[in-house]
Amino acid sequence: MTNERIVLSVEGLRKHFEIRKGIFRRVVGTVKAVDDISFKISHGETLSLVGESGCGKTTTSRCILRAIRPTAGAIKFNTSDNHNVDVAGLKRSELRPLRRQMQMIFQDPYSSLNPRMTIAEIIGEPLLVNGVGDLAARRRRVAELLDLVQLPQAYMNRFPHAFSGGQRQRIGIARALALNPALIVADEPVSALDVSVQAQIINLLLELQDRLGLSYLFVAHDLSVVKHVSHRVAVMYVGRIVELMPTDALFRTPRHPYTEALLSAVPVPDPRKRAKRIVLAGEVADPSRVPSGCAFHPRCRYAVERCKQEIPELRPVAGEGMVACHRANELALAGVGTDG
Amino acid sequence: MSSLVRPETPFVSAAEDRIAAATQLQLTWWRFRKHRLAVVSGIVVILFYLIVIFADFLAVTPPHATDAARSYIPPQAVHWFDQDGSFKPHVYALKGRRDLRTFKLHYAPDPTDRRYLVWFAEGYRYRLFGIFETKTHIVGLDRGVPEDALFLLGTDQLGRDVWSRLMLATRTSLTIGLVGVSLSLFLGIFLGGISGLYGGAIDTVIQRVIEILRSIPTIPLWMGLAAALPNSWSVTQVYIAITVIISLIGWTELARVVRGRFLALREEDFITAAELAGASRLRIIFRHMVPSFLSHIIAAVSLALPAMIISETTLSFLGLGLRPPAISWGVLLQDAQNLQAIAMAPWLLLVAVPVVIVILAFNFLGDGLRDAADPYG
Amino acid sequence: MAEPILSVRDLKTYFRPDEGIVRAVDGASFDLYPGRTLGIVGESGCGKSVTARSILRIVDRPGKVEGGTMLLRRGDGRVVDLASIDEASSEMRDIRGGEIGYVFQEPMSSLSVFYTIGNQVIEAIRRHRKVSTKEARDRAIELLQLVGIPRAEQRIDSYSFELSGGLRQRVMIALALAAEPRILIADEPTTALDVTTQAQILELIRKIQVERDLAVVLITHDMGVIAEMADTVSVMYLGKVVESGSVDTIFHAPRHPYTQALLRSIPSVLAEPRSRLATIVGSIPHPYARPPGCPFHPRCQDAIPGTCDKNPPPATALDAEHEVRCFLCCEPAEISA
Repeated sequence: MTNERIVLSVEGLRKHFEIRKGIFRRVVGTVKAVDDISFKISHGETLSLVGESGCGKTTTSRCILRAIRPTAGAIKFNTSDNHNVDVAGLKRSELRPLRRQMQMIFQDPYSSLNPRMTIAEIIGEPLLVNGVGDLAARRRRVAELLDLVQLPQAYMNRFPHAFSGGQRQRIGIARALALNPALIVADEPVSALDVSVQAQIINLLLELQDRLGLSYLFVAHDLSVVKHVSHRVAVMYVGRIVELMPTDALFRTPRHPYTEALLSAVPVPDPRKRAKRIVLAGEVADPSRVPSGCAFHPRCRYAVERCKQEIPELRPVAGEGMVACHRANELALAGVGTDG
Repeated sequence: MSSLVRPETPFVSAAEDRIAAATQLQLTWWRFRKHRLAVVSGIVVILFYLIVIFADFLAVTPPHATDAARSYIPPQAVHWFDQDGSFKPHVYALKGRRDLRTFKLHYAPDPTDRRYLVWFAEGYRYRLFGIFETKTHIVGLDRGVPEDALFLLGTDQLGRDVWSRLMLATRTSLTIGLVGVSLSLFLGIFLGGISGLYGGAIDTVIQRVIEILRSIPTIPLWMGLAAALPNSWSVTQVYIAITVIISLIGWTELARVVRGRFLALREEDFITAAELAGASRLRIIFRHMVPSFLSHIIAAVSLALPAMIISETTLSFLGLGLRPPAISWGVLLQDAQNLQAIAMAPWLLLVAVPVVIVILAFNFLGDGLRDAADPYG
Repeated sequence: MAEPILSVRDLKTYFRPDEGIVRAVDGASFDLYPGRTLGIVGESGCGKSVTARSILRIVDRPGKVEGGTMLLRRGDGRVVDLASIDEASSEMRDIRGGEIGYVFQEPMSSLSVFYTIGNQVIEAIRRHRKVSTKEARDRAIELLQLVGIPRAEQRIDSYSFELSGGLRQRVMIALALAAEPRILIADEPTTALDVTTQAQILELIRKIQVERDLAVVLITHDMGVIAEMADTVSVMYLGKVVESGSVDTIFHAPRHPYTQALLRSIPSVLAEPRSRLATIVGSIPHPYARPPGCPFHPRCQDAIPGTCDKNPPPATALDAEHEVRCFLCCEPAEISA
């Protein structure tokens, strides 16, 4: 159950990269990696950002954590004492106290841990850097965190090379939890893991959310994983959100043609359900050369003239969520049902 | 649930437990140990630096003592076993004989007069480690008189003992190398670090400077710089100046290695994680980045040292670096510069042997270190 | 049923580095039929990629095919054992590309950046057929059109880095088909691609399979892809084929505990939102620390102490196509004390 307190509110987020060429490094174009993104996440909720390469989901997640600086827009974070702080424009020094409240879990378990530090040092670093407790208190907290992620405390003095991918992810999760953040941005946390290990980590993330009241911004390209972890899903295409819905509604009754195509493309692990797929023509759009109007129109089966000219706004639909499609109210799109 | 089900354990045996808790340093050492050539080279290098420390102890004859009468004496053959078969190393004493036509004194070995070698014999005075005054040397002749001398590698044109001069030359050449590398190290890490960490305009400027420096032909550059040194400078001053000159060129290689590592590390997730945890810039550099490239630096240093040594040897050989009365490999090799000298005294060329051995040893050592450091992270 | 075009029995590929021995493939057997797709599925360390490379004898050192037979029925009717041919011989080189095509996982690094894609396809064509340069180029353009590359006559002169991931993978497939092989081995062909691109590539493979009656070996860790594409499935774990059968049997009537656990643990778009997944206890063992007996027993809920940890289970045929390696499925007489 999610309660109403909004933890993160993103408004009009944009991140543009300039393309420079030549000796004098003249600007010849712009990559609109993120182009006007808005959404909210409540306390205890998981919102997933889904999309294919170039859609801007990773850039969005890094902007929110201020690992990179957004070009425009507001990122309003609700701190533990109920203040709303816009982190988009803050200087590095002003950001430091806020760092404790939002943390990140990375995709690659092999490059997200410093191979020259012990597990205890890695997990304890956020505590050390923020001056939390003395050495003994930190060690206790590290032991607590290892318990939370179901790793034996005896492993504290080992180095990352001794652990498998799944265990390293647990260590990364423990580090992210060290300062009791309200929001965790998980950037494809299971895509580099084996299938059976994915299940363990997904379960762990769900459990931790229930126990600690965490909010997740979950960035993923794998829709089946998204189904298991999300309360709501935002589908991104070339820097924009095209659909934002509660999970069940999005999967059963998608309202955007791109969502329909994505769902249709996901291979279902049941040979008796080999439905006729929608196979999209063409390639995923290039964010440095965004098509006019609706970016999806060159590949859309339902496109009309208006789609070429006008960019569709993200509008509420049927009381559940939002869609950015001119024909949202006319189309009857196919989703995927639920088993049993 | 079956009783055979085991909970998660990354490793099974105690041996693997040891591996799990091994630090980077230990892992690197274990990998290094497998390269036999590199380990042997490492031992050779250590032995050479022992010579540096004990140079005077290993020398037998005062290295500066000239005696025109003893010029170009070939190396004295050491006979290890006495006539009766016992292990008593000895040499034949040198007897001077005056050639009645030229009135020149020639020394030749006299088989009738055997001089036994004595270990830890008394010789000329010196300061061990620069502190303790002593007269003990590793070897000497029995029934010693000051005029006697042991010429293990013969003498040069001025009658000086080549072996003793070689010992001191080793000390000079190898320490110049060390000092030069330290300077290069400092410059290289500092400038390479700034270049890689901050990028942008600073990086461009530093890179271009490096490229310009590297494109200048080295020998003419050295000649110019060396010629600029005033003649009145003392040996020590010239020594320091030469070191500085050499390291001013040598830092470029290290800077490039360091810059490359910083650039690669900047993108690593664990650096981002540290930033997101709130770590300061300084902590990220010293706690996260520097340990990551320390092993690369060590490898680069062990490859830069031979370059320094060759530089000094070449400069001095050409007469541009250290000059007599300073003693270094290059200075010694200068004596072997003309054909006449080589024809009359080919043993002067033996000086080249330790140079080659040390260079090879450093190269193999550096390769081994680099391979041991590289496969990880 | 037609004759199998490739029959692998008891394939063993071992790696012997200084640290020990890794039995990457430890007795794998399967049959391949024209026009049908065999899916080989498993997680990391199961040996599926090494199996594919063993068939083509391109296993990286220090690995070697050390046992078993791989009987290939060649186009001219001759039957050869790929396991016994010298891997550097010209006969093996003829077979690579000429009889068996291989699609690699990473299109980014599997295509040369120094040559145009046209050059690479033409090279593949001319290696196996004596044709003039002009003819080869025409055939190359046809191939690129076949795999769905738009404006093939112009694209043929592009370099691989000028193409997107999906297009590169299509070029890989064109390369694999250049010499008209009768078998296509695809090693995780869509793992590095977006899901919509993946759908396109799988569709393409299916289309070509029908057109040319190709036998396809599809190697993947993705059970969804297996369900979509395979006719028969071999499930591998730590170098052994633990279960094999028709795709319907494997998904709807699996008998091996690993297959069952694997199917229960995969996330699916058909699941209830926010539902937990059933997990498999423990993790995949280190290659040098493989358990004795049945490789899965330390993680198996129903493992029988004294049996499962002693000897590897024999293969039990449950019906014509369905085979399992598990003591729980054996006749009681086969379980020795």
